[in-house]
Amino acid sequence: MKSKTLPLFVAPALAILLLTPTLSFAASKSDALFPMPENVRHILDQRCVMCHGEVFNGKAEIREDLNLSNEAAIKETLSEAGRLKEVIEKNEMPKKAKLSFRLRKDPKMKERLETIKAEYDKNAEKEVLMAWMKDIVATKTPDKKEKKEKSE
Amino acid sequence: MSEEVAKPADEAARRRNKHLTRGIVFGIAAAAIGAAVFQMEKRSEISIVVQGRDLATTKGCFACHGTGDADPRGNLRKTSDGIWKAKAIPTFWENGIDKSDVLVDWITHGVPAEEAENHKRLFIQMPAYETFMTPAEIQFVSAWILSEAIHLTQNATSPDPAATPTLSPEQVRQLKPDELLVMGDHLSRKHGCYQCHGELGQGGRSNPASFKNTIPGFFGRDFRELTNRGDRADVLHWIEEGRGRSIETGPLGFLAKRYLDSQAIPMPAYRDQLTATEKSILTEYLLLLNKKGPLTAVELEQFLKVLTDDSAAKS
Repeated sequence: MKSKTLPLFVAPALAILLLTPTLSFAASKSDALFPMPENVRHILDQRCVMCHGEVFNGKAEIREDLNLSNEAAIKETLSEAGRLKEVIEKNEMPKKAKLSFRLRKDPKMKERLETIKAEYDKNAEKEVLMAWMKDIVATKTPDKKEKKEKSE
Repeated sequence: MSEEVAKPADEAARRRNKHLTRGIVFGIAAAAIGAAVFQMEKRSEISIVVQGRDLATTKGCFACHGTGDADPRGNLRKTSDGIWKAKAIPTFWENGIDKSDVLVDWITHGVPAEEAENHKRLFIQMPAYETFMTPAEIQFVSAWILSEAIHLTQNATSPDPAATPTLSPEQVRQLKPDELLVMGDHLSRKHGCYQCHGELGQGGRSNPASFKNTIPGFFGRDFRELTNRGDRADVLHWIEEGRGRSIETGPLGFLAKRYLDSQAIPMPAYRDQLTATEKSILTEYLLLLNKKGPLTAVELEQFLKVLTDDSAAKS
């Protein structure tokens, strides 16, 4: 009897023991982003929050369900830090950002978005963000062109 | 003798009966054809955009996406740490997709290939509609989404473009299509044309007791029939008087008058509400939309680009 029941307890216990370091390692990867350095917080506020957290006419812009307005909101809405690193690395954000439909015709918003893109380049802010996420492994999402080439 | 006398009388009666029967048969056939034609004429045209709107309803799109910001939907997403977190399901317009091929890709496959891995983290995943809709139907839904996207770009924060310059009808006719589109669209919104004739004149609004029970759009055969095949003076007459010039003076004018007088939503007369230039711009704009026909997803994508980029208006 003992010889049969023991493995039943041992197997899950071993699994937990083996998985715990992996889980804690994964958690620590995201946690490595916090607390946020002052210069990173400044960049997010100036370049990202416009589309990810700022309130316009009573409605918050939470594009792609990502709220970067404060640390608590980031922890709550950032599901994949690797994806965040990827879009910054590939210059998809903020350089390819588009205004949401409700703001798209507003000349002030257009101007603000263009300023964001220009200032981001001018101040080499990408490098600051990449340094902040140095411990994060960027995801690798094939873009349309790569996907097409692979399928051919 | 009496038989000889009766013969011509019978013959005449037989002829009368024959003519009468023929007349009745002809009359019934004519009435049946007339009724069929009348019913066909009463059937309203449906644009691609309106078909898309109806398909979005019948195919269950709103179940997951809601109808807009005021009708939110929830989902769960697994983080890289293996934790499920609440997230909203975006509306069709939340992420600002403005390309028809991207919309078609999403609807057809449930998710574009490059987004597939991220999509697997979602608890509720978008189904691939290629099983439930034809490629044409998917195009229709995409067209409707883009037409609503155009509508969403127009709101209180949208700037009022500079006052319409004073132009002669000839100068208006010489405007580039994109310039006319920007000016015509602005005036149509400002004066409420789309409210009744549908976004970008694509129809789809009901009108009880009107001939077709709908308010016609600007895109097709109905518009041409109401305006003497797109006659400029007729279009202008509709704008100024809210009535049809040629249809009310034609052979069936009495019928047209009856419907125009009894319909629930009559067209207002804009004679004193618009300047001469505005009337000219609107006339040319409606003719431009009619020339284009029912707008496709690709055309709406181009419209969205033109209407949200000021360069056409500035040039």
